[in-house]
Amino acid sequence: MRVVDCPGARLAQWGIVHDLRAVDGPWSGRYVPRSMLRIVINGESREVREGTTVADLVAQLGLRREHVAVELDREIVPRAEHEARVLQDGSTLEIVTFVGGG
Amino acid sequence: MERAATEDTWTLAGRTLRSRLIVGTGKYRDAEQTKACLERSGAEIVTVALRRVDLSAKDNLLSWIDRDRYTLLPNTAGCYTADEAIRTLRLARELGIADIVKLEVIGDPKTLLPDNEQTLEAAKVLVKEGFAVMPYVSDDPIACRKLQELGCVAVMPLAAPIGSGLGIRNPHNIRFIIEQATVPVIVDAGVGTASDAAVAMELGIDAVLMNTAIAQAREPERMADAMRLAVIAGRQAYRAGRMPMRAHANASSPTSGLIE
Repeated sequence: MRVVDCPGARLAQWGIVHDLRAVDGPWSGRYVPRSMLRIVINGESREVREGTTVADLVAQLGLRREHVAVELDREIVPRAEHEARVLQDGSTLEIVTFVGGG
Repeated sequence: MERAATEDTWTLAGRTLRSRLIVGTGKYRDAEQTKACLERSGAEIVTVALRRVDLSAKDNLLSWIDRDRYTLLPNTAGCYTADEAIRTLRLARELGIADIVKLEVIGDPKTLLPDNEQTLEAAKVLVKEGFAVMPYVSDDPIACRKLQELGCVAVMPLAAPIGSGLGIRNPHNIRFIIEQATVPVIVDAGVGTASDAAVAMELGIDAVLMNTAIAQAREPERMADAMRLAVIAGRQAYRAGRMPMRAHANASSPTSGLIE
C-alpha cells in the first residue's frame, strides 16, 4: 500500500485500518480510513462500509439482484441504478421479493 | 387438457387464456407441493405476494417457478390502505413482472373483507400508472361497475370471505355483476370445494381464483385436479344451458306403449 502523509495512511501502514478512501478527489493523495455507516434493512439495524452501493449490499446479503426490489428511504431504486446509488448513514431500506400467496 | 377447455378461450388484458382457473401459491407445504398443484390445476395465471426478503430462506420462489408457463399475478395482500397497496405494486413492477396485478385492500382483519372505497382510490392511481388492475372487491354490483368504468381489466367479486370455504353466498349479486360487466368477472375467494367452483362457473363468470381450497385440502394435488375439472364442468354446463326446474316429476321414459 502506498504510504502518504496523512493520518489515515499511517494507520493503514501500521495495520490498524485496511480500507481507505481518497478525499478531495481520487488524485489528491490524501486518504482517510473508511468509516462504517449504520443503516436499517427491513427494520433491522446493520453496519456497512462507507461507500457501499445498493448493488454491493444486495450482493453482500447473498441475494440475486433479479429476485429483489429495493426501496431506499421510501423511494424505489430501479435496478439499473443499483450500482450508482451509494448508501448514507441512516439510510433505511426495504428489500422485497415474491413469496407464495393467494 | 380437455378439448372442451381448449376450444373455449377467454381474454384478459390482451392475453388469450384457456384455463379459467387462477390459483394462489400460498399455504402449501413446500415448493414441490406448490409446483405439483399448479401443474394439476392447469392454471396459466398464479398469484404471488410481495414481502421483505427472508435472508435465511434457501430458495426464492422466482428461482423455481416456471415463468414461461405461468403468468405471475402479484397481489397486495395485507394492505389496509390505498397508499400501501400502490407502494406494494410499484415494487412488484420493479421485480420485472407483467403489468397485471391483483389489487386487494382489506378493511378488517377478522373478516378480511375488502375496503371498496380504498380499493377504488388505489385503482384510479394504478390505472393511470399503466397497471392492468384486477381488483378484489365485495360482491357489490355498484362497486364493480365503478371499478370497470375507471379502467380495471377485470372485476373480482368474492364468493365468501378469504379462506372461509363457504362457497357462493350471494349468487344474485354475482348475476347482477355479470349482467353489467364489460370486463371479465372472476370470482375470487371463498370457494371451498369442487361443487362451489362449478356453481360459480354455472353463473356465467369468466374464471375462478382460489388458494386455500386446494392448499388446505387433505390431498392438495388431488383437489387441484378436482378444481380443474369442476371449473371445466361448470363452464360447459353454463354454455350448454341447464334445463328448467319443475316442481313436479317429469318421466324420462315414454308414457305410451306400455304393455298391458
